[in-house]
Amino acid sequence: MAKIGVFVCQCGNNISRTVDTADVAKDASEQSGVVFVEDYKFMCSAPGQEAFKKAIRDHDLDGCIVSACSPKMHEATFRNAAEAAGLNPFKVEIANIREQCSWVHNDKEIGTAKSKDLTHMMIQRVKYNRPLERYRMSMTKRALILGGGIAGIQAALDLANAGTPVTIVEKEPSLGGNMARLSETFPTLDCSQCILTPKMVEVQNHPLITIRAFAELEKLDGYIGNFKATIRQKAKSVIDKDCTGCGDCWEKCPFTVESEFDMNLIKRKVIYIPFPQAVPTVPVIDRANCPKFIKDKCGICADVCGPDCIDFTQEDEILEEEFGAVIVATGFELMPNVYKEYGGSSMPQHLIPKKMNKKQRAAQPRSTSGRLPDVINGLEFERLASASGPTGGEIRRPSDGKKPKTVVFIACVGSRDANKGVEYCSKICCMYTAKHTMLYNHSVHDGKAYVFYMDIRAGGKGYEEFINRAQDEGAEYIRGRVSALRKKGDKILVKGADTLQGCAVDIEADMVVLATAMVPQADAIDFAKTLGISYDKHGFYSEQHPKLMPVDSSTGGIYLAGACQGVKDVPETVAQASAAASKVMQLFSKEELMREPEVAIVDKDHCMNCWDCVTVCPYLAISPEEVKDRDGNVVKMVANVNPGLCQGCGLCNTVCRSKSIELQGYTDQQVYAQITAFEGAFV
Amino acid sequence: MIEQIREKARELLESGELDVVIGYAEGSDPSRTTPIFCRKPEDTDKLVLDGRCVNTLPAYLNKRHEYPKKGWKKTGIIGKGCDIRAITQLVAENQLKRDEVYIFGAECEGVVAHPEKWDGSLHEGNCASKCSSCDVKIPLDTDFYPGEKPEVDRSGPYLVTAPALATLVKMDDEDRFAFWRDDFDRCFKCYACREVCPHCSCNICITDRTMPSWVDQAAHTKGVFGWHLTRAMHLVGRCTGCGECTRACPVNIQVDLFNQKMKEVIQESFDYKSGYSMEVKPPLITYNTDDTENYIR
Ligand SMILES: Cc1cc2nc3c(=O)[nH]c(=O)nc-3n(C[C@H](O)[C@H](O)[C@H](O)COP(=O)(O)OP(=O)(O)OC[C@H]3O[C@@H](n4cnc5c(N)ncnc54)[C@H](O)[C@@H]3O)c2cc1C
Ligand code: SF4
Ligand code: SF4
Ligand code: SF4
Ligand code: SF4
Ligand code: SF4
Repeated sequence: MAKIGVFVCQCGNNISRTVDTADVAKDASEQSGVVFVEDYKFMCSAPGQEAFKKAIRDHDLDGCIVSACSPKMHEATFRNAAEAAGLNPFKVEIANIREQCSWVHNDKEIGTAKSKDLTHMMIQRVKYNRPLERYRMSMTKRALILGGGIAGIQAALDLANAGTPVTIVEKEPSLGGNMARLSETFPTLDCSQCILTPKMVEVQNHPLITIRAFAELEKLDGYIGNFKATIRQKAKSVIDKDCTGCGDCWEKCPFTVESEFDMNLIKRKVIYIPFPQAVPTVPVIDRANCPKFIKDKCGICADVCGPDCIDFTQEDEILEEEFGAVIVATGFELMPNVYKEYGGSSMPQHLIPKKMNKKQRAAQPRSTSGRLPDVINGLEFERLASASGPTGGEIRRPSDGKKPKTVVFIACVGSRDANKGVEYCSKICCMYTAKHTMLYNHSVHDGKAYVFYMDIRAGGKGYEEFINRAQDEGAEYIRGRVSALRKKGDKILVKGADTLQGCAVDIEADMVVLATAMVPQADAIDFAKTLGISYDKHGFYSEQHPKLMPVDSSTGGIYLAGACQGVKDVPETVAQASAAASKVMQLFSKEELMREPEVAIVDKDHCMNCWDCVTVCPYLAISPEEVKDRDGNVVKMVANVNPGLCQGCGLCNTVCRSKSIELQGYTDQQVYAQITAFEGAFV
Repeated sequence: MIEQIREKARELLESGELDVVIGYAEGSDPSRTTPIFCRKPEDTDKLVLDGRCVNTLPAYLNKRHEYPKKGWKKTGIIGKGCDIRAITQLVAENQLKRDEVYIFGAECEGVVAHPEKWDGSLHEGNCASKCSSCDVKIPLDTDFYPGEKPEVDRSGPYLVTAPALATLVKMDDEDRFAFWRDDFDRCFKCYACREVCPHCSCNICITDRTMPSWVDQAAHTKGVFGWHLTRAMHLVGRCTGCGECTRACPVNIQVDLFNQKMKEVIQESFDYKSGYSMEVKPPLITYNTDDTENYIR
């Protein structure tokens, strides 16, 4: 005979307002198998938990129901308390009479009756709960960081300083990401490179950090604590360990192409480092543009290299490494200018919603005449304003190098435009546009900056003040949209509206800067699939819980940092990166990994090896296993679940027709008992 | 046609390449044929193939039956187009390996709806309705085919053929429920519909599971509805439309109406026809990250 205890919580008056808890407790005491009931004001309080433990000990309970709030809130609390009192934690169940009952009903009679039902159901269920043991697993205490922008850099330093070995995989030849492109940063106007490069150097010199620049993650197998990463180290054509970074090769290289780092505003060599302060300082050869690879001509770099480290025959290297945790910090890019009226061209493929049919796709804006000269985006402006940029920090327009006397900044290009752009607010554009007007005014003293804006969004420490300062320094803010940009001589005619004055505004500008939306990397969704994490409709990676678990991805052991998770400025990126690092430290602080036992198990007698569960499992947790007889002959094949990978989603349970696989802790018998205990059930 | 098959079957049994050939032989009365397992070369003389050969023999290849366990390495089987569709589906569902069977196929002119309707020949009045829209009269995948096998376009959608279904879908819920309640009243849960089905391949059927007993064992309204709705759902995207369940029912319940309806739904929702590919998995058991539903990603 079962010995079940039922604990009904009043939750102050959260529950007792619409549920007669004393009546629920009394009713429960009349159920078969129930030997103890309690009706208490706050079960989760210290005295509440003590009473819970005491009852388990005094009455030798073998199952407990806590009729209280959602199991999301306190299931763990009571399971831990039960364990302390000597009862297997998985013999404790929560009947949710708050979120699913008292909070959604006004009528006390109904609330009370429903609470009784919910409690009955759990009483019947707990009779079939089996004691379960958590799985213990070993783990590899090394972290993998994907992306070497400020997010990746910060996370790597925090982890390494706490004693954890870290590997950073960065697809470009250097660390730094977009922050390395910035000139000065809001809200303090300190020079971006000056605060970033010391960190890059620290990373380079840290004994616990391995940098894999010019590398990409190809595959990620395994699970929390035990990931196996397949990394492709792209051929740099330069032998890393011998290179001193002297620069003779790129000095002497006679061929140039447009520099991606400098937003194509200037040329770089074909053997190159993206920018002078690059880390590592090892150059790479851009094989697609190098004549040695195209027609076997040149080879000057190899001739001039002192340590003889140019290797034209180098091949991509595939590395397999083990890690216990992964931090994704792959950042963002700027949405291309898709607005014909702003001289933009076609919609980039990855921004076209998947659901569009062929006809809708075809109707997307096509490439027109190409872009208008001197209509640039924010990052291009950053390069023009940067002391290490193509103009040495003097703001000159790209077409003819003249100093622009009138510059128009247009905010919200792409952002907050559900039709052609993205529905969300990119949030940093108001701030960097204000910054740009200041940088411009500091550089061109007799220049005039205009800003067309929809609203000013400056919610941050010192942010509103920063906007005020921009206006004080001479920027003219015009509330309204720009309907078109036209070429007029060597100027651009900006046709705008001032909605506060209620009039049209035409401005002849020398240069126009579009604050285009911040969007995920073009390959963000494919990359999410490689990692097995979830993403939102834009391709930003989804956090486990928007408020309480903002750096955990949907998959255990994979954490998120920086702009890959959503639009962010540098302070927020850094905060999130440190948070992600601290999550990894938490994980690694334990000797072994404990996994909840609520995973699928297979009834090997009846499994008919159809592999339906294998195909359907989103976490690739199931694989075929051989069943052998005593002599080692394979008798049959059955499904086998890896408890390290299984997330307990239950999909396999639903596809297995013969019910040969079920979830521990959610067995058919438990669920069936629960359903049939409900008086209204059709049984 | 059958002579060539007999000859080939004899040859393969003699050479030992096949351990058995499953086919049809004359039955207990002239209107019927019966399944035959030819183990000896001379058994093949008994093989027949015509409009009376209704049984879906691949049901025997189903692991649930004892035959595949007899240690036969390679089984020969004579199949109509729709039978071979069942074999294809069994392979797709990992219930059979393609190289474990040797398929003898022949052009099919259709089969009789029920042996009781056989009057010496096959004609519009007694032909099974499934044969009216059949695109596998020239079978899909064979190891032996007498003569040249012409190319056939099988890209068309699945079409429902049962006349009763057209009437049923037009009824309102209450009438339709009444229809099934009356029909199901006769069902006494002999499970003949399950036993003949090539795709009911579970080692243990959910209806035979106790602890818990999701489907009530008794043959009362609830038990029978429970059985039929479960069976219908379990065959979604898997039923290859042989119609055997209906033919086997001793009390004339048209159980495959459910399956035909679900075949239509699967065709419309997922553009999928079962039994045409050994690689493509039925839609209800696939998981892919491109799914438009974001329940789990
Ligand atoms: C015009 C402009 C001005 C700005 N000005 C300011 C400012 O003044 N102040 C401020 O606080 N913020 C500013 N920001 C915001 C700031 O740039 C971002 O907050 C910050 O760069 C985000 O850092 P991150 O590391 O998350 O991403 P990123 O800087 O984008 O870094 C991501 C890194 O990951 C790498 N990567 C991408 N995919 C992969 C992959 N698959 N494998 C390996 N590596 C990969 C990339 O190459 C890159 O190095 C500005 C942004 C813009 C666009
Ligand atoms: S779905 Fe069921 S029967 Fe099929 S392999 Fe998985 S556990 Fe076995
Ligand atoms: S419960 Fe979900 S994660 Fe676990 S094995 Fe089944 S399908 Fe895979
Ligand atoms: S064959 Fe007919 S009687 Fe038998 S279980 Fe099926 S429907 Fe019922
Ligand atoms: S009805 Fe379902 S569980 Fe039963 S044998 Fe058929 S497929 Fe398997
Ligand atoms: S459900 Fe009926 S029609 Fe479909 S394959 Fe099975 S026996 Fe044939």
